[in-house]
Amino acid sequence: MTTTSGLPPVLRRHLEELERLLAPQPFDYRREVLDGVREHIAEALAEGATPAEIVVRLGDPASLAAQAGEQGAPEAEPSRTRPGMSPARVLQLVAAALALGVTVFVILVTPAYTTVTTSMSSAHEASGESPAPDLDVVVTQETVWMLNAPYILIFAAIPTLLALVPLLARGRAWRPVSITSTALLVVVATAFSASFGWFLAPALLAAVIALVVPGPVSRS
Amino acid sequence: MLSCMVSERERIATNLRKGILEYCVLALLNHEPRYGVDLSRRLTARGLIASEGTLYPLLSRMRAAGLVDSEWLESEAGRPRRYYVPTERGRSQLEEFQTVWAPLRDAVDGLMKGAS
Repeated sequence: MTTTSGLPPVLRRHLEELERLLAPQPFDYRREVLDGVREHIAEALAEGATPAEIVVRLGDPASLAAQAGEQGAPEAEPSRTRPGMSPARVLQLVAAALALGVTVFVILVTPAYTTVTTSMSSAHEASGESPAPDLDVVVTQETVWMLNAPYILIFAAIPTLLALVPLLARGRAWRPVSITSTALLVVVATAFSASFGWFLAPALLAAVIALVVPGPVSRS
Repeated sequence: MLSCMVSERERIATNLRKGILEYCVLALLNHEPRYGVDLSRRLTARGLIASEGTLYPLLSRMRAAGLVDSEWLESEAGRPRRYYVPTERGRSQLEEFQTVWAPLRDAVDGLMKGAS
């Protein structure tokens, strides 16, 4: 990634150390800072400064990295810092909670299967009080849980797990992971909608909005 | 004891510089574009940054905030260099800073001289 070949060892080590210390910073920010320092070194060498002088004047890589870390990654407004969770993270948490909540509700509470059993009432026939035969209608309502447990859990967990995945992603991985898991959630919600209706719609909405509000990682 | 006082002094200076450093960079760029080495030397010479390297996180943030831009130009020495220039937004923020800074500086100076 870094073209440090051809540089005096003391400068190469300086750049490598800086690159290592800036690793937690967003990619574009890190690249820009490293480019700046690299150009600085090239220019100072061309102006006749010695490698040792350049390293001393640049200062300790740790203090530069500490400054970068303290001031945080650049945002549209650099002075505005966002303590705590970013709006996107909060929405993703909401999406996961909604997915879990509605899944549990659908499995345990909503009657998914209604069985209607009819039978001739033999009691009435025997007594002969009523000429018309009575029909006994027994309506049994069964939830998804009653019929399919525990296999259903494996499928039911999928939306919740998909909604949870972006919350575990850190740094540069956050955006691609969030986009992928939200896309998969769309697919799963669509598939589930055929059997159970759009119960995942609120969670899906939260997950999609999370992709467009400010996230934990800055876009450059 | 002495080192404690020095670090306290350094802490105060660091905190104060934080809010004004961007405007110092904008002021240096206001009349002519400058390249990194030039800018960093002028800032360290005035004691505004402790070491030359710390200019680059600052420039990166300023670029992200739309205050400066950069372009590659051929230097007098015949080498291409990246020159930093203030954006329109950078220039107008510098103007705003100047209107805020002068009365603020005078007020603090007055207090430090013992005016009431």
